[in-house]
This record gives sequence, structure tokens and C-alpha cells, in this order.
Amino acid sequence: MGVPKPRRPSLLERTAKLLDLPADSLAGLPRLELIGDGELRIENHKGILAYGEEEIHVSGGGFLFQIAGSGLELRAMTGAELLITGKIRQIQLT
Amino acid sequence: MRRLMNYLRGMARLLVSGPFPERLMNLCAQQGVEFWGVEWPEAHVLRLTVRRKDLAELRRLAEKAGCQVEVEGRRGLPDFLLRFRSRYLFLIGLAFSLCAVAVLSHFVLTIQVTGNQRVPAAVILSQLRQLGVKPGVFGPALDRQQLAQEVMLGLEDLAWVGINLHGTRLEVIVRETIPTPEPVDESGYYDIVAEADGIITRVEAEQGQAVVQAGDTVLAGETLISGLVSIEPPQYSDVPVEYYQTHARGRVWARTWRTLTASIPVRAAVKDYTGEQKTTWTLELLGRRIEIFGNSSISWPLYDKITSVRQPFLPDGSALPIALRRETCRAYETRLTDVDLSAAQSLLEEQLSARLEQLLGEDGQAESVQFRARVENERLLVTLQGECREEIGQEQPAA
Repeated sequence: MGVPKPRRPSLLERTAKLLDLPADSLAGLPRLELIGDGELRIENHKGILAYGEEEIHVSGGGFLFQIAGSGLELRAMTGAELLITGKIRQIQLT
Repeated sequence: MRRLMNYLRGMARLLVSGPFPERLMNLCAQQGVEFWGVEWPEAHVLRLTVRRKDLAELRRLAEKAGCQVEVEGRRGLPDFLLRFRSRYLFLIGLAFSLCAVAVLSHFVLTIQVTGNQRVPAAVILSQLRQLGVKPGVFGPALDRQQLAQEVMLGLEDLAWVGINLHGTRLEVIVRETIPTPEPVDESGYYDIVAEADGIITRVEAEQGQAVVQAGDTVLAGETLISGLVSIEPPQYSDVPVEYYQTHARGRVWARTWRTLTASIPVRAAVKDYTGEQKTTWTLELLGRRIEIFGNSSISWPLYDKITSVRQPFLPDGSALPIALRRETCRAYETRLTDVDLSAAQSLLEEQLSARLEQLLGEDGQAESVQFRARVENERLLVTLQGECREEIGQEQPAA
């Protein structure tokens, strides 16, 4: 296994960065909002890839969020937003 | 609130199994199918809750994602009501109850009278009853304007009557007439005479000529203010004294001495209950009495009747036209026994004091009161002697 190839920012991401505009709105990048260690809100997600009480994997387009913790629960989910509750210990971005 | 809404709309607990159940979740999120309570009991099995109305859409999406859907349970009001779909008797009963409520709520149950001060509510209710308005009548059939007119015709003291129907409550609002003041009678030839013996303390003659003054002693019936007024001519004049008659008016106060007597037998009959008693239960519904338990015929010559009524009331205090009445009749015999003389004397003294107060009226007052008691002819006689200050003037046609 070699070193993973670094992700190339899209044109919209680069434009947002150049014009100092919010990339989540312009380029549709995922936006994570963590409240303490008990509530995580993810906007602009692309779906759930794996689900369990200990770990939830959420697709963010070019990213993969691995949320680890205990008693995790998918409280609400819509096409653009999802809410995870429980004791969140770690959020890993790959 | 959300729980209540979910319960009202109904929900289903599902078990989804397939190679990629998370695909179904993503599809649901994209299609706007709301779900919650997600559990992942096994690697390829998912348990979640959806709204009842989204079940068909979820089945379609599950088919698309290659998953099988199994309904584990249903909750909520729609499923609760659907249980009664095959219970025809229940549905008939429900329909009958709803019809009964819809029809019965048009019958008058309570009649409320407001706005009356001089005319008792019982008189107004009695008048309405004579016109056929009583608990149990069909409300919409009442011609309320006509009824109000007829009530006003029947009761002269009412100036206006309004009748409103609020569901089962008939509200009768009345306004009473303003009583016409009593006119002062200026006609006629009247004297003010003494009502009782006494010593005059003050004279206020408004019309007529005072013939007594403070300190005079008068007897009952003696003229105090005369209706015959004399007009004295000027001094040294030849014109004779003129007289004219008028209706004397005025007030005369005096010190009086009142003597009142009351008596009571020293032996009185008391009740001895024999122990026999009968109880009758009666239901009063819309003014009709229905005997539901016991026999009302009584064969004893002497008995006490004790009645207790249990009647439900609305929160606003008005009584419903249904009551449960219990009548208990207890037989007794009479027996003569000596009365307690001191208690009897106290009773008579109270009665005499009340009579004296009534005699003196609002203006008078008793300055000193003495009681004497003696037994005579098997009766206890109590005599009150009181010194009073009172108004003793009384109008009387002059002779």
C-alpha cells in the first residue's frame, strides 16, 4: 500500500477560497457542527456507509467521516442533513 | 409534541434485511421519507421506525435497494381505530351515541334566571312552566321572543325579558320595573295622635299645629299634632281668628313604658321514636318522580319524614334536572313531660325582646328592660316591662 494520493480541490472550492466565500455554500462541501461530545450535525452529507453503536461512517463526497464513540444513534436524517447523538469520542476524516 | 403528532399520524416499526441496508437509509433521506429509532442488530439487518403513510414508499425504495421489509409492529391512532373496523356492534353503538349527543344536546336541561332582585326566581320559573318551558323541552322549538312577551304580560314587575338558548342551558335575563314612589297624600283632614301613653321628649311638626310640647304627658289616642290650623289676626284687629283644615304630618318622640306578656305550658309533649322506619328512594328526572325502591304508604299516625336529595351540579353552579331523593319515615309516639323552666323562660324572654324591638321600629330604642316570671294555671307567664324612647305619632282621620 502506498501513500494515498492527496485530494485535488475542485474548481468551486478553489473559487471559494480565492473569493473568500464560504465553501460549504458555494462548493457544497460538508459542514460538521459538534456540540460538546453528545451531538454532531453534518450538513451536505452524501449518505451513510456504515452504521453501528460504536462507529458510524458518513460519506462527504470526497471525504469519509468516521465517527467513533459509544451509544451512537442516528437521530434524524434528511437528504442534506443528519444528526448523530451519543457519546462521541473521535471524528476521523479520511 | 412530536410524540403526540407521531401517535396521531401512526407509525410502523420495521425490520429491513439485505446486503446493504444503509443504502435504504440514504434513499429514504433523499426521497424525504422520515425515519428514526435506527438500530443495527446484525451486520445486514436494520431496524427503524417510519410514519404509517410512508410505508408504501419505503417498500418501493427497499425493493430498489434489494432489501426485504418486515413490519414488526404498528402504533398510533389510525391503527388503534382500524382495530374496530370489524366490530360492527361497537360502531353501531358509537354512531348511536353520537346521534344521541347531537339530538339530546338540543333539549333544555337547566333554566337560569338572572337580573331579578324583587321578583323571586321561583315566580319567574313558575310563569315559564305555565307557558310550557321547563327542563326537558326541545330548545329550538321555543319561540323565545313570544315567550319573553308572554312572561312580561304575566308578571307586572318585569320591564324587560330576554331569553337566550346556550346549548342545554336556557338563560332568562330580566329587568325589573322601577317602583313608583308612594305619593304624599296632601288631601283630607288628619290629626297625628299618640300611639301609646308617654312623656313627650321632642315634637317635629311638618304640617298642622302642634298641641303638645316636650315634657307633656299624653295618653294613647290623644292628639299630638292637630290638622286644624288657626290663623291669628293682627293685634287689635277686628278680624276673627280663622281656621283651616289640613293633613297633619310630623313626628313626635316620647318616653314610653311597654308591658308585654308571653306564656308557655309547663308540660309539653315530646317524641319517643318506636324504632319503626321506612325508606323510599325516588328518582326525579325532568320534573317527574319515579319511585325506584320502597313503598311510600305509611300506616303510623305520627311520624317524622327526613328527606335527603343528591343532585349533580354543573361547574357554574346550576343544577341538572336529575336528582336522587331518599325519604325516611320514622314512627314516634308522644309523651308528656315537664319542661325545663329556666330554658322556657329564656325562650320567652327572647320572644318578648323581639316583639318589643318590632313594636319600637327602627327609630325607637329600649332604655331598660325587666322580666318577671311566674307559673299560673300550669303555664309559665313571663312579663316584660321596658322603658323606651320611640316615635309615637300616628295619622288618624280627624273627627
